[in-house]
Amino acid sequence: MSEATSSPIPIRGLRRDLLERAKQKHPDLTQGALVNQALLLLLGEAPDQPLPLTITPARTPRKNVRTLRRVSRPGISFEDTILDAR
Amino acid sequence: MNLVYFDASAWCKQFNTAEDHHEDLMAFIESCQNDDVQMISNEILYLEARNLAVSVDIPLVDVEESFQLLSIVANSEDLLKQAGSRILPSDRHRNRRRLKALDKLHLETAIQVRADTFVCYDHRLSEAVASIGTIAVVSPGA
Repeated sequence: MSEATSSPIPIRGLRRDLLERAKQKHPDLTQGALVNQALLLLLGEAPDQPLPLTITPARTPRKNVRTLRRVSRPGISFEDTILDAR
Repeated sequence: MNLVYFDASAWCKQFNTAEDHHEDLMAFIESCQNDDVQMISNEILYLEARNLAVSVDIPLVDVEESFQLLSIVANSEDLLKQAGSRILPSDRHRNRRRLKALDKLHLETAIQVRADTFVCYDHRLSEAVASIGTIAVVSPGA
């Protein structure tokens, strides 16, 4: 029996059938992303159906973003300030 | 309609004109508006952006006005559970390279809304989004 047809065979701890299921669901994914999806399938945490979500739509999506007031704070990264707070 | 997800740290770069890539981000947001793109984030952005405003002493009203441009996803028990339990390649690391909890929440939200694009400048979060394989990562100007 060839390795390609025998299942399940561990691939570095992953079952080949899970990898194949992941590949069928996401044929365009890279190998690394497929492994991630297969791991989720293994844990039963890759739902086929998306979670129910409550989304509040943007109130003024066409608002001119240039009219919002800005500040200039040289030497202070707002991005880093937020990341540091995490 | 394309769906563009904004991480809070990327969204808040727009408030500081001296921030790296500020102008590129502004132009990107404008292009989203012109191209009829829906801009979206998780409601945790409310917390992170307000916390920023308090930290760096900028008027809350200015930050909150920007929220009107975004569609906002509310958190639920299911969403929080899914975000916390999703295994990512970075989880094998036992150091600071691991993705933090709020990063995971932004990532999971983008996955669940089936975002086309994720706007982010943080290298660690960008790698995690890319590992999912279905969402493009952009860092305007970087």
